[in-house]
Amino acid sequence: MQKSIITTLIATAIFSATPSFAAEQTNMMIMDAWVRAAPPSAKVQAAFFTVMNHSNQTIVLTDVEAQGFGRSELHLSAKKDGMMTMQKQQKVTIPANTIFQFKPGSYHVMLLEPNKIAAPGELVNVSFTLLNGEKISAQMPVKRDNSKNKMDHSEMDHSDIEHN
Amino acid sequence: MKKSKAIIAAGIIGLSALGAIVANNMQSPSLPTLTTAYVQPKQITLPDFVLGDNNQYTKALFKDKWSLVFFGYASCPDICPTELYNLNNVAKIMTDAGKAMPQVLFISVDPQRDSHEMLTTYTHFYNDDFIGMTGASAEIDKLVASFGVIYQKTFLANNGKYVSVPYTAPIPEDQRNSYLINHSSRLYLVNPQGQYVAAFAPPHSAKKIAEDLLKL
Ligand SMILES: [Cu+2]
Repeated sequence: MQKSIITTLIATAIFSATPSFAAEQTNMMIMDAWVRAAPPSAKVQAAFFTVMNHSNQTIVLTDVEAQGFGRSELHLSAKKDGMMTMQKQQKVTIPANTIFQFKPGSYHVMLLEPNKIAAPGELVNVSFTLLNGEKISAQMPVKRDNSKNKMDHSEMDHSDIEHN
Repeated sequence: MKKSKAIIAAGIIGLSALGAIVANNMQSPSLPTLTTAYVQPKQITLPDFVLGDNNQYTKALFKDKWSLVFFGYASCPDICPTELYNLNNVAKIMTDAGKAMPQVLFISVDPQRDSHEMLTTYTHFYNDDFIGMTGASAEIDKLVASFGVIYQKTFLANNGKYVSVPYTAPIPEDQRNSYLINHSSRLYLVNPQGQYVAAFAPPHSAKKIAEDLLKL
């Protein structure tokens, strides 16, 4: 579909009668989103993206849903006792005025129970529930990788974990 | 009398130690100085093992070529796909440099869910030359022990907490499809004599791994 790096955000206010209130609440952007392509036999996929919190308040993601998947979870990969472990997060807190990355080897959305594994070129609609009850969704393109500049990419792989 | 015996004994021990060093150096050609990989202080000769659907994967697999070995599982959403993708980048760098890429072996520690066929599709998704395999846990564990790999099953218990148990331990029925596996994420280098000689610790950079491999 479209090649733009910035994924357009559809922010939906719960109380649509008070749009100004809603606009203030959703001062957040999801950018650079992608779902990692997986072989058709795979049972899970992972989604990565960057959250920009332009507000002076923390944003707390409490839940996630993805179209075409029975279950989706907020996850964190981290090194523990010499092993890579992955743990479900009840919530992910994005501090005020920060850029927060969901990336390989760190935070990600785990997509489980696929109706069918999403193939490269397809879009997956992922929607998040915030602590204040709002919902925010983004269309995430399926890609084999997210390298914009191929030469730099190798340096970024298995990038280290910044948030603990 | 006593003294001379002691001296002879010491001499014998000294000689056999020297012999061992010489023998060791003779059987394994020395490694070039690697920048990123951690070189094993002592090269570890891998044990006999049998993996694959038709028992086609044995120690002979390592003969006469360099190998990179990674342990994981096919339902891994993050670490294993990242690793295989990264290894494909290593392969590209090696090809561009006109050097042979070591063979890549992806060994699944999850035979309860991963089949040989599935692992082949899985590894070929990243690179047609990568080999995916699994087998009986007892066979896998022989290699696991040699490389010093650790792995465990982990599942969400009723109390909402993650519980980690040995892979072959029983787990609740409703978790039998959805468990995760915590696993080591080192990449192991095996020489053409079938000896484990070095390991790359994460985070893995394709460029840095390739720089070391180009020296082989
Ligand atoms: Cu893994």
